[in-house]
Amino acid sequence: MTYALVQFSTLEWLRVAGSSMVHRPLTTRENALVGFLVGVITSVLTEPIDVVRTRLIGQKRRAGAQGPGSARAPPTSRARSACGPAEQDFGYTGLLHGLRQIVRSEGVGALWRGLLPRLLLKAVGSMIWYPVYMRVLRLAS
Amino acid sequence: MLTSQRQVMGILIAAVAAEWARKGTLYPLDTITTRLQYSRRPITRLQLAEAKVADSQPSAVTQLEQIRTIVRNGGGPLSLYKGIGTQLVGVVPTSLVYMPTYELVTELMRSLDATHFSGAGRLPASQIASVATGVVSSCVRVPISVVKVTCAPLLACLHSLPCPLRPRSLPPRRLGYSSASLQMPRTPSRPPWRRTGGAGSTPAGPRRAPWT
Repeated sequence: MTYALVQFSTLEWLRVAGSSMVHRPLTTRENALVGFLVGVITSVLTEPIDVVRTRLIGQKRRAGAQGPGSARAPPTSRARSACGPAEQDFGYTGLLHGLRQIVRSEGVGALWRGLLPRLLLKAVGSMIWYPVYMRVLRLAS
Repeated sequence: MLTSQRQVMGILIAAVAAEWARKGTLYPLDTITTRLQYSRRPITRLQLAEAKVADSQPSAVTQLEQIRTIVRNGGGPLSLYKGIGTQLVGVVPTSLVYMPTYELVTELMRSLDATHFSGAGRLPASQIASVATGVVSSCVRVPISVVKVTCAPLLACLHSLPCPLRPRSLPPRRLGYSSASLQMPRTPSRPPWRRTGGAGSTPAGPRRAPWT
């Protein structure tokens, strides 16, 4: 929901700003640029939530696999997959608690851990997705 | 208002086409990312040498080298597209609700704004539509994810990754984990009747599969 909120708010803002600058409907290339910027801005703004979400999923999965009463691993690294290094139980109780814990124990920069691959995927994906959507919409409608 | 059937169909078609274009283009990158994330660390040159793809100096290797190994042992660049059909089908339900919800709710909010506030823009149409889109797409995405997780036990992926990044003690078996993004072909990828050398190898000439 947060991702959609940031994505569409940015998209509308850039779409209006772009159209008012060129005084005509945006071309496919301009739409690609809009899509790219939307992907970049959305990735950067939603990365902290994504980091906490990934850790929450990891610790829940691990807790579910071990059952109640199992020993907790120290919160030293980010949760990884089942085939990767052992998943950590960070002890987060929710999104806000996770955000606070990360800032307190690892610093603000840790909220944007793993940003680069996500940025690449989201920005390029959005750069493809948005112009194709607008183009096909124009053709189909 | 987006009242005509043609407009709604246009949105549906455009949404699916855009998602397919995005998924189809980025699928190899997505596959590499997934395989890297699912591989064990640290990876050394020695481990790669055991897979006969690198020299025997035991030092940390770059992600680029790991990617090369994944592509080579997977059977070439085309192997990165394995399972794309499943993925393209899988994105259809979410695509069918994501953009259509946003477009329709935005239009609804704008018409309400025009009716009650004389189009003064007091209703944050885009923001309300975004929240609605997030809620609706979650309602579709979450059950699909639950089904995926239920049908594909994640632990089995350990055994279905016969790559040099997997520990040697694990047998190169597939244990039924069929998630497309985690599938990696066995090495060597050549079928048994095509291998040369060793006992039981077939001589040169037309070769047939053992069961034919």
